[in-house]
Order: sequence, then C-alpha cells, then structure tokens
Amino acid sequence: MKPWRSYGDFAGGVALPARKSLSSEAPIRNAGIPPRLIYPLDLASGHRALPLFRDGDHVKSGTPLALCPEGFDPPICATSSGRVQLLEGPSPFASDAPLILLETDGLDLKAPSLPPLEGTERSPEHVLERLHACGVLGMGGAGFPTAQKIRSLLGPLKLLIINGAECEPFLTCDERSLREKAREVLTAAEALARIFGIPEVIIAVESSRFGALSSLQEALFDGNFSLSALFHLPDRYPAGGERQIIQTVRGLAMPGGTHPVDHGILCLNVQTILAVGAAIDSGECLTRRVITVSGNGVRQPANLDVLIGTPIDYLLECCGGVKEGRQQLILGGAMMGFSVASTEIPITKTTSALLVLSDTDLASIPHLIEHPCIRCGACTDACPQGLLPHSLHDLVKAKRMAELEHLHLLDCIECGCCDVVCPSIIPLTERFRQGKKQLRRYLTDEQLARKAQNRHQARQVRLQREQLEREQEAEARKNALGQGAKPQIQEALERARLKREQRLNAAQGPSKPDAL
Amino acid sequence: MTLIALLLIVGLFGLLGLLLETLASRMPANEESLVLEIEALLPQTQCAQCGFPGCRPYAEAIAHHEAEINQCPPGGEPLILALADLLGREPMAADATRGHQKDPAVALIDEPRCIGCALCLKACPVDAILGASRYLHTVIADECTGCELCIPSCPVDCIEMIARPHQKRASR
Amino acid sequence: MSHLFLILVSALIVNNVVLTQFLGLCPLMGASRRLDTALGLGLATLFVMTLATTTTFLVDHAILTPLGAGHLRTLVFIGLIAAVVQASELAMKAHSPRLFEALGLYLPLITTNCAVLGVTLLSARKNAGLLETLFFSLGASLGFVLVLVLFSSLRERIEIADVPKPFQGAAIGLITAGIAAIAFSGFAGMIRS
Repeated sequence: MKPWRSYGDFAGGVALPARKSLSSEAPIRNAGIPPRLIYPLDLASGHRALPLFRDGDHVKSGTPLALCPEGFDPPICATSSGRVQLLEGPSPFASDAPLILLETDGLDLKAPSLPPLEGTERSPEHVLERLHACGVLGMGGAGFPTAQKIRSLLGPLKLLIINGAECEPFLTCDERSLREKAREVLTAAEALARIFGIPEVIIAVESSRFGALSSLQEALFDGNFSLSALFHLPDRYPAGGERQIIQTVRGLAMPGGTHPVDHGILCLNVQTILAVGAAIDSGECLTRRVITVSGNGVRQPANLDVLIGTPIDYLLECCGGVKEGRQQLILGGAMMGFSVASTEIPITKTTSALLVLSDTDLASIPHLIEHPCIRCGACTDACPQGLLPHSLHDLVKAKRMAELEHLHLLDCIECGCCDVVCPSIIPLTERFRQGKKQLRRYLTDEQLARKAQNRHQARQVRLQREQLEREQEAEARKNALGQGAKPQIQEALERARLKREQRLNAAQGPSKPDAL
Repeated sequence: MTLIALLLIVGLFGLLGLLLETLASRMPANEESLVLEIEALLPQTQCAQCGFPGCRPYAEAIAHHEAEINQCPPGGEPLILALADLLGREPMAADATRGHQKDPAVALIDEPRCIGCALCLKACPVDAILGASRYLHTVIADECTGCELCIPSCPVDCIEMIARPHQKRASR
Repeated sequence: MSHLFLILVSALIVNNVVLTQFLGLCPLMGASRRLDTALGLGLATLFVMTLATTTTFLVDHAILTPLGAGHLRTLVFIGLIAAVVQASELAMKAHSPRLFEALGLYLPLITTNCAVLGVTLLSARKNAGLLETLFFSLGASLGFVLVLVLFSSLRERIEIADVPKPFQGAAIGLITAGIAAIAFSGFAGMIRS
C-alpha cells in the first residue's frame, strides 16, 4: 500500500460554495421501480439507435432494445421488466429522436446475465467485448463508450485514474459511493489494471472529502491493493475535469486535440469503474446508477440508486416532493447541468444529479444570478425616455414611493434597453414593472386618504355646527321661558276657564222658571 | 482685573438672558405645521385603533411626544419608516397590541336585515353610510375607509367587511 | 478687498473646517441622513457661527483683553455661543417645527460643536480686525454647510445602494468621509498664506 500524496494543482478554476451538507450524510437508498421507464434513442456518438422490438413486446431487465447502427455505442438495454413501445415525436432532450417507453410490471424480472469472466477469459479483448455488451459508458457526463475509449489508445496504458472528484456544488453521489463501496471500487480498479497491464492506479479525491478518503484509506489498509494509491485534489471547481486531474496528478498539460489515452492515461469515473467491475465479475448489464437529488427546493435531499430511464417526477416524489415557491429544476450539476421545465424527462446513464434550486440556492452560484450595480451608467445612456435606471432600481428596491414619482418611474415604457446593456445582468425592466404597480397603488392610496380626510373634516364641521345649533336653540328656549312667557300663560289660563264655563252651562241645561 | 471682567461678563449674560426671554415670548412655537405634516402621512382611516379618536389627534400626540410612531395598524411598516424619516426618530417594530395591517376592505350592509336604526350613521367617521331613521342604510364603498367602527354599533349585526373591489394593497 | 476674499476661500475649501481640520464631525455623521435636515443644520450652524464669532470678537476686544482676562476666553465664548444657539432654537421652533423635531438633539449640540468654538478661539488668537474675523467665520461656516450638503447627498444614495453587510450604516459613512477628506486635501497649498 502506498501512502497518499499531497496535491499538485491545475490552472484557473473558481472556488464555489460546496452545498454538500444537504445530502452528504444521506446513505444511498434504492429508489424503487417507477411505473414507466423512458429511453431516448439518441446516442453519444450522434447516431440514432435502431429499435429491436415490436410495440407491445414484453421484455426483461437487461434485454437489448436498440442497437447502434455503426456498432460504436453499446446497445440500449431495458432496465426493468415490462411492456415496451416506441413513441415517435420530439424527445424532451430537444431533439426529434423517438423514445422507447417501458411500462413496468413491477416484477423486475431479469434476463439471464452473462457469466463472470474468469481465468483466460480475463483478457483485454474479452473484457472490451463484455463492456460493450453490458452497455458500459462514461457515466461522469460525456457518455463515451468505455470500450471504445480503451480501444483508441495508441500505446500501452501507464496510469489508471479513478476520478473520485465531485467538484460541482450539491453533488454527493460519487462521494457516497466511495464511502459505501470503497472496496468494490478498489477491487474493480485493480482488476482492470491487472487485465490491461496498467502498473499504477490512482484514486483522486478532493482533500476536503474526509468521509470518502477515510473509507478508501481503510479499504486500502485492509485489502491487497498493491497498485493503488490515494491522491488529494485541490478543493476548487473544476478539479474533477479529466484534463485538470491529469494536470494535477502528473503535472501534464495536454495540448488541445490530444486525449489522455494518447499519453497512456485512462481516467474513469467512480460509477463507471463500479459498472466495469459488475460487468466483469457478475456479467451484469448496466441498469442502475447513483444520483443525488438535492437543493433547498426539495423536501428530503437524498442519494438514490435509480433505474436508468426513471422519470424525474417519480424521483421527486421519492424525496418528499418539491417545496412551495419558485424552484428551478436542473439535470446535472448547477454549473454544467441544464435546466428543465418538464418533469417527464428520464434519468440517463450520464445524469449525475437532479437539483431543485430555490432562489437562495441560485443566489449562491455566481453566474446564475445578477450582480450588484457598478454604476457604469450604460443604462442611463441607453434609456430612450431620458430616465435614470440605476437610481430607479435602487429606489424600487428600497420602496421609496415618493421619490420614484419624483424621478418619473411612470414614464418608463418597458422597452428593455437597460436590460440589454447592463453588464451586471440586472433584470431592470422586470423590477420597473413591479415598481410601477406598487407606485400606482401608492398613489391611489394617497388619493383615497386625502378624500377620507376631507370627508372626516367635513363631518367634524357638520357635527360642530349641529352642536352649536342645538345649544342656540336651548338658549333661546330658556330665554323665552324666563322673560315674556307670562302673558301667554295668562291667555292660556283664560281660554281654559272660558271653555270650562261653557261646558258647565251646557251640562246644566236651561234654568227652571221662577216659582214665586 | 479678573474680578471686574467676571462681573462685566455676568452682567452681559444677564442681559442676553433677558433678551432671549423677550424673544421667546414674541416668537411662540408654531406646532401646527408639524402636526399637519405628520397627519399627511397617516392613512386617514379614522379607525381609532391607535388609541386616539381619529388621525388628527394621533398626529398631535406624536408631535407632543405623547405617543409612539408605531401605533397605527393600517399604516403598517411603511408608515413607521416614513414617520421615523420625517421626525428623525428611530424606526421601531409595529405595536402588535393595536392590531394588524389588513387587506383593504369595505363595509357591506345586509340590506334585508337592516332595521333602519341609524346608529351606524353616527358611528361612521367619514359619513360613508347613506340613509336615515326608518329608511334603508347602505355603505358608499368608494368612501368607506374600512375602519370597522360601524360593526359594533349595529344592533342586528348586519354589517360585514368584504375585500375592497378593484384594489389590492401593494405588497409591502 | 481681495485679501478678504482670500480669507473667505481659504476658510471655505483650503482649510475646510470639517474635512481638513476635522472639527465638527459629530453633526456630520449624525445629522446627514437626509439632505433637507443636513441643510437645515448647516444653515443653523452658519447663523450661530457668524453671530457668535462677531459677538465674541466684540466681547474679547471690549472686555477681556483690556482687563487682561484672556484666560476666561473659553468660558465666556461657550456662554455666548450657548445664548446664540438658544436664539436660533427659538427661531427654528417658530418657523419650521418639523426641522426642529427632525434635528432633535443636534440643534442644542451646536453649542458643543468644536467647529464653532474652534473658529471663535482661532479668530481671537489671530488678532485680526472685525471685518477679517467676519469673513473668516463666514468662510468656515459656508465650508461646513458645503460639506454637510455634499455628504448628505452621498449618504442618501448610499443608504439605498447595495452595500455589503459589514459596511452598512456608520461604517460606509466614515469611509466616505475619509475619501472626501482625501479629496479636499487636494486643495492644500492653493493659497499661500
């Protein structure tokens, strides 16, 4: 066992926030069998595979479904059992290639696997055929068929590098694979090295991946891996690029147009070497891979062992679903992945992650989000209405409504010229649209407040006036009672007396004649 | 010498003191403009949630340092910030005991149940309810500020608050 | 006449009270959040400084120096400045209560503004005439107003700009003041006095 070596370095690169803690402690778990599996017919070489089946055929896991016409790419195999059919029409990967749709039966019946290679069969040619038959290709992202990669070397192989670097933020699938399957990785690497006569094997991992490094150290210590050594890579993106690793490990900067195999170096991803090991030792077809589902937009980030062809929506459900709010879906890493809008897209052999990024996640990755305003003034020059977009932007952010009105935000015609010229990629027009809405509401609120104030003051005046009138009336009545009321009272009493007399006279009737 | 100087200085200061006294009596503090400026910032809901019977009394209380700037729920945080800016005071968290900022709402009288008692007419601080004793009452939605003072005044509980039509508060 | 103008300009920009002599920094940092408040304070200080310098000049020449009581200068000058500040407070309360409210504590603090006391003591020490003293105090106070106006305009914009968290508030204000002071040091040597 050779001790580890401290790292060399590669040129350039950027330090990115790792964001690995979301999923680095989640052990790999089986994602199960989804109701349907999808396989696009487009191949890495650019060719389109030709289907081997008829619609409605029942297939088992490992059955080849489509072949590459040139024989360059390995065949496309079913990854579970069920019924297949061909779907015409554009695939979600922005090409017009048709898709193979497999409706799983849940039984996961397996086609008979090939026998493990032993003894004399462990020769380079046999191995390359086996790798082709089992569909092994570069699972780190490029998807180059591994057998072809080895075949294309011009001289003897001098070094096998297992690329354990996972420099993209959020991704932890390779790290977890190294932690949980360190022995398998080393076994497969040594086996491949011995078959092809490669004298040296280096497992390159970033220096901060303590978990992976300690698992590998333990396995190296315990097992008989005499060709292998660990190598610590710098903690920078893209330390896991093939050429960057070679520059770090060997100090060799390869000119463009040349490939690692031209220099006798074979560089394989962790998932790929595991697939190689399974193909040689168990004859297993490549049907699964480990991916990371992560990001602050998903409820339970996880590292999943998924069937190739699993649609994204099934995986999102496996992870507790997407949180509320605006999230961005990315297949692959945040740096080199591509954003997808539909959740019916499948996982392929080269998909390493499914990221559900919230706004806070996006803000932490430099090129995906706007930068602060640098007061360059390009927006002011570009504005056809003679406004000051940089000032308006600051005021909209600070919600200073009165000053926005003063700087004529409502005169903005939303033409978008300021967006185009801004070197900090600030979405100015969008901000102004929101700002104008808020400004109009503010102005309406102001108007209503003025109206209410006037009405209230008018009411106060009215109440005071009524109060005054009431007081005046009471005053008048009191005065009237105090002074000249007596004659009126006398008259009233007189009238009452007269009436009473009349009534009495009428009641008594005519008087009796005098009797003498 | 120092003593003479001191005596002269003391005399001078005494004169200055008298001068200032005269000035103070001739130039009374004019607070009205301050109160008006504060009142102009208030939302004019006249709801009395601040503890004062209307927006003008609250403005006066603020001017006299008898009330804090965070007592107005309809004004919410933008009001607190605006008042802090105007008066040079520190912004503070809204006083939650006074109530919370609600979405704009107007009162609606359930006309079949209205008994024409005219109690709500008296309660409305902006005279936004139309009607008379024994006649049907109705709320003029355009004039209603959503202060909810009419609701407790109704003996048959026929007034409820509905969202203000065609206008949503800006997300602040 | 030209030497009066030179005195004015020298006090205004070359030996600016705030940015070159570093007097009166408290109102600079404290009352410069809004342009109108800063302008109000600046004009109040202008009124106080010019009036105080004139009265202190007269008191110094009429009472203190003839009686050899120069050691009472600081005491007497502070008292006179306090009286003038009181007068300006009354005036402001009557004419602009909002400004009075917004300035709060900074208005009576003009009394302890080292710029005001500094200008009065400096002119007393110079033994110049009344006219020179007047122009000197006018220049110094105009310089104070200038800096307050410039600084508050900057601060209004900085407050809503995207300042990194460690620098927000007073920190960026002090950095700005420092850079402004460096800029004003470019005037040094402009007037050979």
